[in-house]
Amino acid sequence: MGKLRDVEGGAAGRDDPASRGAELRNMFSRARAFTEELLQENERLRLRVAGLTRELEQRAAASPAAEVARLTEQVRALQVERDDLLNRFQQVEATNREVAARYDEIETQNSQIANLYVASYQLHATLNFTEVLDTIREILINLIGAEAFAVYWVDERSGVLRREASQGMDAPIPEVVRCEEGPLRQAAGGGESYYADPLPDPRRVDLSHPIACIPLLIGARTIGVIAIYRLLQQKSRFSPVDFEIFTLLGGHAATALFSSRLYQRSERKLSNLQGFLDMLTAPNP
Amino acid sequence: MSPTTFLVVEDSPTMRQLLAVSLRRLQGCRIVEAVDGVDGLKKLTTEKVDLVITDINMTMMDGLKLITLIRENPRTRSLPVIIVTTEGADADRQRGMALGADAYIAKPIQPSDLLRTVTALLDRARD
Repeated sequence: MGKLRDVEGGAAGRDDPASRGAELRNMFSRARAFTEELLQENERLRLRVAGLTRELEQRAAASPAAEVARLTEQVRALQVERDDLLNRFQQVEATNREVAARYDEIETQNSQIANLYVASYQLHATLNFTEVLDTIREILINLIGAEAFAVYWVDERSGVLRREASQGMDAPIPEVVRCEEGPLRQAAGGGESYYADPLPDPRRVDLSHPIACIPLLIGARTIGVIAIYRLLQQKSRFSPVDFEIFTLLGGHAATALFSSRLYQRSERKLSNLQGFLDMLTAPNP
Repeated sequence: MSPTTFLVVEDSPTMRQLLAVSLRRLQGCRIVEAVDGVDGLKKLTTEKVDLVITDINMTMMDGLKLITLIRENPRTRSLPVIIVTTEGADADRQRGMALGADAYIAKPIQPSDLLRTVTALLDRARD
């Protein structure tokens, strides 16, 4: 166990995955060496037991009963020692498996954090509505692996969905989409996310039946919906990190879109107002 | 020892940042970013690069053309190149590898896979 503590201490001090990989490899090779050592020891003990048993048998007829008892006791002690070594070997193996599983878990978490950090950073890097839409598009393609998708804006007065962006669709999406039922309606009207499980035929795109619907929420208000219709061919299903990104998009994409739209409107109004003021204050010719 | 320099050629700012964030986990590395193949070629003339990561679909010059030019130039011929792209079909992979890419990773990427590939290629280049 002393060897193992050295390995764990060394790994905790480094964050470079290459070093961690090297440390893990080193640890596995040390575990292998230890295993080989145990097996050799086991073999030696077996031979010793066999030798003693033979000796015992040879002496059995001639030797006094005390000698037989001594040798029997020696054999028993060696067997106990062997069992102890095997037990320790199994413990080391179990710890190795545990460390490897923990390493995988940490790697997955690192990936999730990297994806979420980048998505959130990029969504709030601009106040331009079109650029925010481009960022959502990039996140859907590069981080989720979506091939066909659309971003809708919910018209609060009429309840219809207005297409703001789309990509990879077999046929163009109309500018206004009315949906009375289905996942799009549930996302737009009730703020409910939807994920198809299992995923349907990947080549079929049905406008009213996306494979994922993510409502864009500001508080309890749904301002838009992201609908994914098809994934890239190399991606067969959603992964756990995708659901984290969907949750992030539901909140951060909503505020980024909403605030950029408000900002652009206020900029336009300010510009109009400034023009009006300039006209009023301009000196008469 | 000089830091390992990566050239990331990618038109998507989101993907460029994800690649940079992932690569920065390797200690002592420097990342040079380019927005398309033309920009990538320019950066290759002004920077000492150890490994190139490129997308395929870019406006000014695509990644396949960039790889062809990298392999034609005696100065950059042996530079390790990784393609990171949305094109996941076997035919695309074979085309990229035939042009001289050393590895092909389909998006969405797993940062750990990317780092494993990068480390392996750098080790191979040093041997």
